[in-house]
Amino acid sequence: MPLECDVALLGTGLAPLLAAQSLLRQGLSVLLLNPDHDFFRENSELPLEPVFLGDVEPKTIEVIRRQHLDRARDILAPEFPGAIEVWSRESAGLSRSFRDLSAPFLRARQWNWIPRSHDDAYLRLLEGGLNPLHSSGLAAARRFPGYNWQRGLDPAFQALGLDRLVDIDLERYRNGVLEFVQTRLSHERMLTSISGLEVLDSGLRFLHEGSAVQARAARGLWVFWTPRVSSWLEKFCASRKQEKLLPATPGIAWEEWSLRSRDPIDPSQVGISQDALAWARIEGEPREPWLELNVLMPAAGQIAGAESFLRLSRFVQSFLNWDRFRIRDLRTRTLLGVEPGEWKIEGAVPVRILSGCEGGVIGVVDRAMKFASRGVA
Amino acid sequence: MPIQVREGSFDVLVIAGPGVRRWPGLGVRALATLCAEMDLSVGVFGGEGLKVKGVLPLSGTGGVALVEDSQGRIHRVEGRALIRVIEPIGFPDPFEGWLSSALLPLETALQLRKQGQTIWTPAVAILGTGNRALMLGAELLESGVPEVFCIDRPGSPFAGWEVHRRRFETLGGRFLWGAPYRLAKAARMLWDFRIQDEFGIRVLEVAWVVAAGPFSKSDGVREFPPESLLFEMEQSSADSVSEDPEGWALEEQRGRALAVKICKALSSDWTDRRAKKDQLEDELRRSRLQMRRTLKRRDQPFSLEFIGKWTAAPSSRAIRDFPGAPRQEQSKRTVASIECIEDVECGICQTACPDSAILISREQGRFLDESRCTSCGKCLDACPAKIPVLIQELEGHPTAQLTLTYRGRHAFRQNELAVLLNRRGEALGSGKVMDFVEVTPAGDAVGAVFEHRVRVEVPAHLAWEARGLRRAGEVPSHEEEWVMSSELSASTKVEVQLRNDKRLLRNGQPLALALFETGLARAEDRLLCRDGSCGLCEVVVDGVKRLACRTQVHRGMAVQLDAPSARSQQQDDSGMLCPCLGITREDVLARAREGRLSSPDAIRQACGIGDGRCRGRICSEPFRRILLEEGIAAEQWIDWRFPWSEWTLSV
Repeated sequence: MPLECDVALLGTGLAPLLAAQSLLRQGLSVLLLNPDHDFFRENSELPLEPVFLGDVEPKTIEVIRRQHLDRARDILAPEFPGAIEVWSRESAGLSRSFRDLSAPFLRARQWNWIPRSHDDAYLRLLEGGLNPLHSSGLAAARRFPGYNWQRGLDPAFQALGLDRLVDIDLERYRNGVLEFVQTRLSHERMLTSISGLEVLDSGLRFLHEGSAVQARAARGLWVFWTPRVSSWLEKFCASRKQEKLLPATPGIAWEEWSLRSRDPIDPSQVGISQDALAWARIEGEPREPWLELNVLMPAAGQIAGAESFLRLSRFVQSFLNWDRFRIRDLRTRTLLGVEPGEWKIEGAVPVRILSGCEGGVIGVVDRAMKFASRGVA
Repeated sequence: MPIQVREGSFDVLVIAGPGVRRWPGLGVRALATLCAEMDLSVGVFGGEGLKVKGVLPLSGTGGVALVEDSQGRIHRVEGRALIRVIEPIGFPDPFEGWLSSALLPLETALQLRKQGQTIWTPAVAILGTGNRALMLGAELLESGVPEVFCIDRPGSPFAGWEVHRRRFETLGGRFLWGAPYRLAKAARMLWDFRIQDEFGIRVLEVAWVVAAGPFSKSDGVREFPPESLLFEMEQSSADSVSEDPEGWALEEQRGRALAVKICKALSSDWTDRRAKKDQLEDELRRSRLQMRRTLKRRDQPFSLEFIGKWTAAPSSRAIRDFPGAPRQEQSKRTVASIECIEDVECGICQTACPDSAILISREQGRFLDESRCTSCGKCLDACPAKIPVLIQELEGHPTAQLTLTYRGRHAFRQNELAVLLNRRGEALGSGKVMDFVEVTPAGDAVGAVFEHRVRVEVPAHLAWEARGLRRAGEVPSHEEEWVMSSELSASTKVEVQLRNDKRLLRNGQPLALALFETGLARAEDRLLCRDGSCGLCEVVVDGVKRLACRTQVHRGMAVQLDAPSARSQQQDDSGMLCPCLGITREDVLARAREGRLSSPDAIRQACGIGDGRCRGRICSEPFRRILLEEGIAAEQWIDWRFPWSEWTLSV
């Protein structure tokens, strides 16, 4: 008996889960297909948006606005079944009536950016209504997480600060959404390790645990485009004579290093230089001392290659003034590097494709929810 | 100085995981050789000069290993297939007190036996009934430890070879079937160990509890994620084949079977290589057959039957009919009898025999060519289980002559009466010692075990029953003892300050060993990894933090150990899974259940298992077993976090 549903969703990570959540709320039936055995194996979301590693463009302003605490909470909270705790420097240490310490924490920090052209960046941010705070010298250096100003300070050190921008406990958020969707979808409707997916006129056919499975999706197949499904999409578009439909994917690999610091790191700040973002790595309720520094940077060429180590050591040695560093963790992910967009391929089973299902988690949630509501309409 | 990174790539990349002691092991060599024969490029990274820091899986198949050489250069090496070799520590399921310093992994116990002067009396409990557990038990009994128990859970199949069991029982070792219940300190260097068996709680007073295992059923190879060509292979055999013939055979089979799988996955075009493809298929058939044999033996362990003290007729017939036992030659002269009836993978006696009198064939197993045997006794010396005997059973004679291997701290004397033991260690009667041959010469080592071939005259009816010897009566007086001195002449003792007390320790020995000898070892010292990879055994020496396993004792050093932590003083740590971070079994189960998490990676990240100082060395296997009990597919799961332990880079 083929599986029947209104919409079949193909993809990994948060985006298909959020879409499923939205569709179920609207009373539609869903079939969730993931080519990986682990829903989040691809790890395509980032806990924060890697803005500023470049020039300020109009879309950058919108991304930054989305990262603001109030806006982020509006985007994330409705899609999360439980509480989302908020942490900021101001609220730290204040007693509250009840806190769910296992909930994902949304941390509001001040983001301190060292742009290539300070004045130009200041004006652009001001024009965008973002009210940047200028700082220089020691005041700016102290705000940059991990900066060892005692070993030396660049007198030209200047930074622009933006307050109350957020990052989130990504694993907790993801697992919470997964758990919520799992309670609403039976395990026959959430299938992992699927392969050999074919879109036929009669419906869908794929392999799951060695067996062939057939499914019918009344409103079509939605594909959440990440590198994991790229090769399938390429073949599918070719089979439909739509080779040029989707943009080329340069692919950007991101490396998230976690370094052990000798000195405590200010948890209320995020620092962004030309090469990397740096922030105190915290999970859950922030507790002293904060000794792990997360450094997020795009990999140049190969992951963990010579260029990566060169950049990392340049950032750590030349910029942060550390004499040595200890690597605690490295997480890598490859993102498509294409602009968020939507495409459609008509047919007996219409296929809709969404890009932008990877990267900063707030953007992923926002795009996935809007796509889901537009898709049904 | 800028960090130097060199690039490389291989078809097959074999890397040493954290804490791997022997490199490269037999399995690695077998795997690398077969892959190279199939024209695949193979890179082998590990050992002191090339420390592997971790692996990054690539999307698709294969992975990247980052290796640091002794000059601080980094090597980034890609492999189309990547195999991480591990030496599992093997802790049992947590019970109250399992975090105590008295519960030692097997490798640590063996190191202490070989290198230290640790006290093992009055008794030792060994968890597990595998070959290595039994061999350690036998060794301890021979060295004079009064009691040794091998303990396994009720209903568990016996994991070792019958011949090792035989030797263990002959020496007086005992088996207990129960689950560990509690381990608590009773006095200095003495522990109260309780096990729960069918009768209730049994209390043992022991010096050490050794976790020898095996504690899980695994064929020693995992692949994760599925079809990613990222593997983990266990290297669990001893340093030499005589210490662990089964382990060696298994490891080689494992390496070759994995090599076949990889070669088939990576080599797509066999057009001009028909012969190699046939060789691969042959190899696959052979390794499957061998693995099947091993698994069959494990599922249906063999044991002799007894009626009272006497071998039951079917078993007695099996021994007499065994091709390794002589048929008629023993009625004319002395000849060997090779009595390892179980179908095991061991050819040590065959290799040792200078006259090619012992042969091993696929159909018959081990068999003896009586006509060729010159009763030289080399098979007795070589056999790790000391099973062969030399037998002379002259027709019509009231007595027979047996030559048996005896290992102990005190030698027999000529014409002394020895107690004859059956194959279970029960006394049958007595025999007169005719003469003996030293196999290991007497030395001046304290506590050394001497080996002799002892020829004993026995009543004729005991010729096929008696297979062990024990001294009758008291140990000889001091002047007749073979122990030459009470001090190791090769090393001297120096005075050090250890936790504010002055002590004499052997100069130049690793501080970690000294802690065990003085009874001051902490739970953190148990891994005794020797290369510092676990990073747990931190001490303060002369005001500087160091690792005890990498620090040598020298005169005048001042050593401070950490004060016992609140966690280590906790009364009941039976639920504790991760001692580094204080994560309990209930924490893990609650997190998995409340989040309905079904992926081991997700549960691990949610709980933080393995994020502590030991990076999963202690807790990852018990964690896997908990997940399996919970019905989560964790058998093939591999934790591919990077790096394996904190990696310090100087810039």
